[in-house]
Amino acid sequence: MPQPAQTPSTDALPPPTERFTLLGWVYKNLLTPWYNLLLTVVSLWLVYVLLKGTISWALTARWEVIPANARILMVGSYPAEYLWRVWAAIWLLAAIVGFSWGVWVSKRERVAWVLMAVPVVLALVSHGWVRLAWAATLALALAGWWLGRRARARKGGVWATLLWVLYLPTFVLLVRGWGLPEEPFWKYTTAVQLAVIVASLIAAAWAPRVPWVALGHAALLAAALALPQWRSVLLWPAIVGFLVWFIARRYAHLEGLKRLALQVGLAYIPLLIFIFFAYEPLSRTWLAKVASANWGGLLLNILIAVFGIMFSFPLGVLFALGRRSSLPVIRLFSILYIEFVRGVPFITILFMAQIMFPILLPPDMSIDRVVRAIMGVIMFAAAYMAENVRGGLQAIPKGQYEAAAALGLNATQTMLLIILPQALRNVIPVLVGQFIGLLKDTTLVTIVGLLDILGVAQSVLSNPKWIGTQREVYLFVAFLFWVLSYGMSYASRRLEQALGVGRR
Amino acid sequence: MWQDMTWRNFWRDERFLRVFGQVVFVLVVFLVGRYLYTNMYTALAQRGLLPNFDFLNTAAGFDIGEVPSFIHYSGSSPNKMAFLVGLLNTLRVSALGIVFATIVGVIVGTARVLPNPLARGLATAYVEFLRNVPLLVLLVFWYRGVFIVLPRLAENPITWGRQDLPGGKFRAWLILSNRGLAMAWAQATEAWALYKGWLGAALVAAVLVYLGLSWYARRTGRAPLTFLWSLAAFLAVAAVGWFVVQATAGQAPLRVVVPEVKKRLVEGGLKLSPEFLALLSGLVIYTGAYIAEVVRAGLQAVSKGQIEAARALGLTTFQMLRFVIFPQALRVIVPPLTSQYLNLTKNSTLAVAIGYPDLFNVAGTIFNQTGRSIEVIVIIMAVYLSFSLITSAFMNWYNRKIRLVER
Repeated sequence: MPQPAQTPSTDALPPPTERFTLLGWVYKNLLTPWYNLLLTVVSLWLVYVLLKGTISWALTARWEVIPANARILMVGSYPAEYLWRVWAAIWLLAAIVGFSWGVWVSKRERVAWVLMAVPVVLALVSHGWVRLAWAATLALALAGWWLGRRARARKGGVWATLLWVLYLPTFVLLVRGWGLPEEPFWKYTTAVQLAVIVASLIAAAWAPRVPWVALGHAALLAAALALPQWRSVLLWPAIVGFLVWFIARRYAHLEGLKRLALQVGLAYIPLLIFIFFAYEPLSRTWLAKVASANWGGLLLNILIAVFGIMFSFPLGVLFALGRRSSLPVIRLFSILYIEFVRGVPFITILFMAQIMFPILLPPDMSIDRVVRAIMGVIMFAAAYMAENVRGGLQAIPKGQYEAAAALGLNATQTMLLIILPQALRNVIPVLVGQFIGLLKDTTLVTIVGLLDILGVAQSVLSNPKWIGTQREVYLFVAFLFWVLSYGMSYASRRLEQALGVGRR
Repeated sequence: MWQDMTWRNFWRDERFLRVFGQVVFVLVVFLVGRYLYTNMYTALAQRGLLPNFDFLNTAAGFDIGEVPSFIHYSGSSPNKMAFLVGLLNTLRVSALGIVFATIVGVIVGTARVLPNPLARGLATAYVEFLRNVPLLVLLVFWYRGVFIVLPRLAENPITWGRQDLPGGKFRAWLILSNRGLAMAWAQATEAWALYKGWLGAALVAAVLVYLGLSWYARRTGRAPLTFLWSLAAFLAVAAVGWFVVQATAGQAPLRVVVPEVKKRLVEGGLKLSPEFLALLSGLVIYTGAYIAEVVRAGLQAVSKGQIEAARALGLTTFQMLRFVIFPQALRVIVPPLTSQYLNLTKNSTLAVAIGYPDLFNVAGTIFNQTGRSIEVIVIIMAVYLSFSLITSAFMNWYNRKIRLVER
């Protein structure tokens, strides 16, 4: 608002304001006019009734049911010898939260004390090595914060974003573990497959116009189709390698592509060493795969949510782009999918995933129950994700497309470099809201018979020792979800401020 | 231009690529679909369960806990009747849930913009707590932690207006026990048949008043309280009818029946099961929190200048609400409100976790009995899809109706 033209005067007093007094505030906000007084009385009575009931119950409740079943509620039947991997995931998370806090939050905030109080309180109520583990969590969070403060001036934001993006797959690899392929020659076939991809990228950087590269892919494809024993080895590298070459060669004029190809080529050697000498011993010992039947409790909820987020996000972006595509077939397909999934309740999708997937796939290809539930979650979340992303895409002014076209960018470049970054930044709050919804919705897998935290709670309550403790257990579950969801929504508000959403 | 037509360049021609890409896409979708369909066909053929809707006419063979009073259902009724009962139960809990959730949401949402810090704080705490807790946890807590651990009928149920009768019996206006809620309710007497005609007349009168006042409003540019006046007309005719029927037939068309407890049985009045109560109240307080946010956003979307302008024009508070605030807030509120209604209806499927026989629950039982997976899934999805199609059709109509007419 423009300031009225006047000489800046230092000696002029500010206009008289109402002086703040406690009594005056109470009188103005709580007691007048009459309906305000009525409202105050009703609110006080409500607070009194609620607090009195809650406190008198909470003091007599059998809270010992929670610590006695804490482990099963948290991780279900996750093997005890691998529990340290869950702890490692928590420690990593704490360090990343601390780091991001150091990078993005400059002011002192009360929430920091609450965040730090969580491991302190948990360390105090637990005992033995669990207490040490919580202390380590706090220490790592503080160390992360210290690093974050240092890194703030040196691209700290980029590092923090990278850490968060890497955290989700790391979490999955830690908690789920690594499986060993059943194939006897998997080391060699993996080496060949990776070599095809890397070679395609290098060819795209240095020989973008040589048609023989494509013929090479075609030869691989022909070999894969002709020789059944080689099919599983060569089929997907031939296709993916061709796509990598075909897409990357259009950027061959950029200096960055050669550098990238060189880096990938160099990374291939240590990767090979790792696959040949470290992968197998690790996945036999420390990082052995934990079968999904052993995922349980809150860990299962979080795993389902993490998988759901990781896969439904790219799928949702694709559907959003499809819905705005100018190709009628693609648009129709996207619209039908999105509207169908959004029109039916989540539980029917889960039910369908449990019952239909085994029928739709050949009998020798069985997917286990947890994976089926995860696929249902992904299918469901992708449709909602698509609508949210579409909202962001629609908010991008036409001038951005025109400016990109004027700069000579093609459609893919316009989308990837100009439109999507802005669109996604604008919908962060909505997306986080959806992630919270997704985490909350994972409790529904208990209806199709999985042992998530609600399922475990039911089995705890059917133990004769703990009959009559429904309120304690379910309130505890509700409280856990509340902390997680509220934490996520708080983080999203911070992220919004840090990225300057809604500001120019 | 002619270069575009040469054969050498056709794979660089965008027009060709667009068509080609779509053809490939259709082909891939078709092949994947055919693959899945073949698998499904073989799997179902092996089990002798090829899709076939004949099972709808065979006997269901299971009982349903709650059947609407105007429907006859027993274990020997066909499966389609079971579906119908489930559908009606879904509609019942959704319709009541929508009404009550709207009331809760409007109250809490308004409280969130009040100047009174106590009321505002209470409303904020309500919204912030419930929006961050899974509905299923809330429902299960509500059912297992509250409703089925209420005192038993024989012990000391929560009552309101209790009158002890001889023989250990008692009656009360409201009885809340682990069997659910029983409350005093109106019951039709023999005079009800006579009264139905009066109700029809009242409806006609209300419609006439509504049309007349709308015509008057268009004609004169005034804004009478159309809805309230037609409601008044309805009530007036209904009241006159009540007294006329009472005078001629010797009894009122409705009479109040108070529930009475004999040993472990409740007789008379309206009885609601704990499952229904838990589902309804869970859905209401959960959706109420979301509706509160919708209402708050709508109220805050009305710019302050509008209120100041209304005051400057000398409108009374009532006029300001009716002509300035509500029309503008409603435009913001109604679209997300409808989607909340739809969410509530879809969320009522969680009834399966607490044993209320809604459509999904009944369909699950039928699936377990008959093994007819595809058919059952098709039926439930078709029902919920038609709900959302009807709702979105309504939304489009409403959006057209209230669209801002720019001058």
